[in-house]
Amino acid sequence: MHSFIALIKKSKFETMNLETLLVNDKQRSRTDNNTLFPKLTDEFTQKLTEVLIPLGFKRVTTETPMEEDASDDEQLSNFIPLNYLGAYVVNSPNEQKIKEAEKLFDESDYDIISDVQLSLPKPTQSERIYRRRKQINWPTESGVHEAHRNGIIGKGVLVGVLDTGCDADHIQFRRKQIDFRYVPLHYRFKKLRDVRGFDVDGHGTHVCGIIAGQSIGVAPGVDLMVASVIESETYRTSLSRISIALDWMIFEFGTEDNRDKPIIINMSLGFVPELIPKRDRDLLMVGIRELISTLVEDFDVLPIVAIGNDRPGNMCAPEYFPETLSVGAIDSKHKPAPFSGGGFSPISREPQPDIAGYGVNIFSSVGRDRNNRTLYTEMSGTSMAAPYGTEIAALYASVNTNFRRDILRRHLLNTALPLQAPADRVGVGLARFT
Amino acid sequence: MGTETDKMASIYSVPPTNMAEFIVRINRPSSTELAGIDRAEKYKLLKANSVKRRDEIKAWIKTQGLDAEVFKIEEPTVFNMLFITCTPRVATQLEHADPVVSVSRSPEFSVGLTKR
Repeated sequence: MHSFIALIKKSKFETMNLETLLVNDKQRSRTDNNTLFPKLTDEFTQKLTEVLIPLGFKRVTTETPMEEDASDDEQLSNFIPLNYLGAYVVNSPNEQKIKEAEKLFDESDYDIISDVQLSLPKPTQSERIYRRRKQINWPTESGVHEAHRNGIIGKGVLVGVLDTGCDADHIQFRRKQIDFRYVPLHYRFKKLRDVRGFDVDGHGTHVCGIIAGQSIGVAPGVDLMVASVIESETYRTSLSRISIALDWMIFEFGTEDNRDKPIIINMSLGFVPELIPKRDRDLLMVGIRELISTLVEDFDVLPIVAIGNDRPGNMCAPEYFPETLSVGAIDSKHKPAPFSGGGFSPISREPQPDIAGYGVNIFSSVGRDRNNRTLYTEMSGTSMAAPYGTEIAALYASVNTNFRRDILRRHLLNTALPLQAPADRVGVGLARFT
Repeated sequence: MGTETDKMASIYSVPPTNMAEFIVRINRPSSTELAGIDRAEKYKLLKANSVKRRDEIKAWIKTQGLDAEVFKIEEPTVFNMLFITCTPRVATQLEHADPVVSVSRSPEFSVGLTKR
């Protein structure tokens, strides 16, 4: 689904930034002075109706739409009012309709802003919440139980996670000291916040549960550092946020307690280059690649990344960079997950992903309810396969602390369980501890 | 940054609409030069390099009389890039500054996470 926002031109009411408008809104409430403030006027709504209805958009309303009984067509064509901005978010069934609308609005008093980046990956699993932990049985061939039986749980290894956050008070982490930082999105506050780990979304908590959950994790003994760099509502981030978070991690890597520990960073994030305007894309790729190179070449970090959920033939960046180890998803019967991406790296021409991990219906922590009861759920995605791979690597690194970056990477690839699937779906096979 | 920029960043929480965030890539010591140095020392060296480059760029912006068009320069990190919020005109000009390798926009982007 595509979205665009129709805004009254600011010149119509004064040049103000968002904060100014919100401040003025309070004043307006007190003084009942409507003149300074843009709002959804009848004229605006009528104009949208006149232009968009003939194009096939179904209706204009100032009330929150999306009734449950709305037809698919209506849901696709809804107008979401942003009263304080004097704007509507308009969802369109296709890009063509947006282009047609743009032409009609071009010379009028309205701005039309395409916002394709608002589209999110489709769910790959329906939601079901558990209040109790299920018995976790990592399959025998993973080697996880055997490792745990021998006391190998990832001790002495540092694992960094870039994600939506981590609920440090989930029962799976209560005995663990999670080093956590939040990197805010907005300018005035774009500094690290040293706060107790939280996660509005749950995705990061799920990833961290797979990594180091006390009774559900692959390597519960690792030292966990988590940076929250992804907005839970929009799943958006920026290179500056990521670099601020990694800068903090790298500083911590050099402290007395950490300087000799092997380091792995799990990044269940990636972007589809085609969604970035061409003029920005190439240099953004250069920026991210240099950032990854610094991690690998200067600080001996092994970056492990999810290949992405855009189905075979598609990959995200930086997953296909030669410096990263990319992980695809398989189910418990060793079949590649239908959503799991893959292909051939445009840089190295090598098949991607490099390796596979379990990524279908993975049970892990997700947060707490209002009564502080911990919750669990099953999620599917390469975001789940990547932390599995990360922690198999951590098990190896905890046994041999000389296993760093390339050596660790090679060892992981050399010990993988070969699978009956093409390399551009599962790489060299299933990551396992042997 | 200069007085104008400091004033602007302290008054507004978001930059004026004619400004955007740019990635400014800067020179840095090569990995070969840093080989054999421990992590903590490498961090210090790379960070010091970024701070030095940042200061050079700040001075250059001031010399060119462009500081009123710069909203903010993010704190330098260990990486060879600075994030500068400024007008496109400043961004174009910055490519001529000595410590600068390249300048590009720094877009926000959606990540490919899985929803449950």
